[in-house]
Amino acid sequence: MTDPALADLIRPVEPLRPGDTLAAAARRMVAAGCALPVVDERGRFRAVLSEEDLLRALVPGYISDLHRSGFLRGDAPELFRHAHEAAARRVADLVLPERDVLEGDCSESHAAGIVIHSGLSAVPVVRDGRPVGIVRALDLLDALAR
Amino acid sequence: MEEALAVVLFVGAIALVAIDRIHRTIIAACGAALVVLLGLISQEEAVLAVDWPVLGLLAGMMILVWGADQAGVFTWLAITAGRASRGHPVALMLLLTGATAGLSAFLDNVTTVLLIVPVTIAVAATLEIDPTPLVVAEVVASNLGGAATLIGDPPNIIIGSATGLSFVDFLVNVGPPALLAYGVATAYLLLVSRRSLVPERDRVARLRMLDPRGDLGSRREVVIAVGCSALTVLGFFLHGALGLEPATVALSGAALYLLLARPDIDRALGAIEWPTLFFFVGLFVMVGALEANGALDRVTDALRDATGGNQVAQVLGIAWGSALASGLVDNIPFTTAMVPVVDELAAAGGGTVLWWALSIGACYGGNLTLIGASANLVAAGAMERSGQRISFLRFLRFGVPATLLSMAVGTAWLLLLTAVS
Repeated sequence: MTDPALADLIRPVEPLRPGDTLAAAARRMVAAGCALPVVDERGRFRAVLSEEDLLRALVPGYISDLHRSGFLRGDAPELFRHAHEAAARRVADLVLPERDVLEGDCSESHAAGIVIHSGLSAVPVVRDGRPVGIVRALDLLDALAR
Repeated sequence: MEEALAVVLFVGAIALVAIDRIHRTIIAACGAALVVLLGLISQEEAVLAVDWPVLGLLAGMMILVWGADQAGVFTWLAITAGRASRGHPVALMLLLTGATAGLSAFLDNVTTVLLIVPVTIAVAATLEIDPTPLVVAEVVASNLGGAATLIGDPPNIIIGSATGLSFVDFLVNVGPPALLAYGVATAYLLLVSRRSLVPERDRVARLRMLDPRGDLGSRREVVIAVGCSALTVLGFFLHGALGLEPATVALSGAALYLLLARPDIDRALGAIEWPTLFFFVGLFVMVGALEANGALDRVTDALRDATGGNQVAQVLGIAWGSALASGLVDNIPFTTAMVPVVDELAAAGGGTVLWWALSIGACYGGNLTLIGASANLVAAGAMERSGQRISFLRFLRFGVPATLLSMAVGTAWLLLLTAVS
């Protein structure tokens, strides 16, 4: 059996665009099961939208600010109301952190390193400034553990 | 020439910190490097200019606060205060701001605000009331509570280390006006905002859904964290009598906590805000350069000439000048630069009351504007993330009257101290 090359692990993905609503981004993320790349109007890679980024945008800000939230025992009355309102916002409204991506031809070891240190469920592969796909942490795990 | 250069670098650094485009620690580090490289202060003098006990006190307290936070003590306190109010606006304001002021007397103000404000927003969300008046009142309470003790606010830590004045000296001389100023400022904030704090009757019952014990650690964790903190505070009360520096007390308390709790050492030491400590180091070196080149002597002479050597005029000038300066620029570099000035004026007949004037002005002035203290900006950031913006002007509407009222209390107290000294 031959070891899988990184190219075999790259999944094609339709990136998120600035005009996409957070509701649409959430649906796409759920379908893909991982973080998604974000491009600008010209299709150039801009950022990665992770599950954590999206959750932070949808819940009231104090929830992500709390050092501990175990005291919130009941349903927060405004949790779903806030999420519903926030879901109409656009991806362009979010301030997303800079993250490492896989660029050009790189090794499986480098990909493993980037996935580990980014903490992302998927890392985009970028060529000539455009995302050509993603490497999912689960796919990498599957290939390594097989 | 050297003197002018040292002044330009220091004023430039303060201006850059105020503009907030580059992290203040980077500014202080570059400033310190420049004054040494330009020969405005020798390398040996630079090392001696750093007030190491200030850094030790801050580091020790940061570890202890982290330990108490890990045990869930602060969340327990804030939720207990929120629930005990039963949704009554006056009780809610007094209990939450009282807890904030009490914590700030022993904790760094930014840490207090970081811990209390999100919990307050959660309480306000549960009651469906506007959190803004509560959060602004907490910021004001935090800055005033911190003014009450030697360890509550960086200006007091700097003054305490420079003068050798004890924890009890601070408590006796700046504690009472801080308590009174907190009462007056909170009463004002309550008066202007009480209507927005009244919840619908059916919302009050929802407070029961906030469980104070929800984040509390095991009994062992709580006992160790609270016990070590209490022992440390006891040590602060006794440090003068025992001949120990406050830094020794704080670092011993932190060491005891680490020994008993055995936390992950990387996480525990990660709780130390290294950028803050390096900011202090850079500032101490820059102020050392100012002092070494005689720039601060000139400020001292100017102050002495302007006041004609009159003690009351010096007290008022230092207190109100410090309040205004601290409302506009970071009070840490301001206080650091003022220490040699006040030291000389105090020795020349101004007396210890000048130190209390500096303390009161530098600490209370933080409430003047949104940029007056780091805690204000941290609270505004937390509010913004929850969709409530506290603009510069909105803060001024609360901050200016609160500062004027608290400074009026502080001034009356200082005049009383001057009269009996």
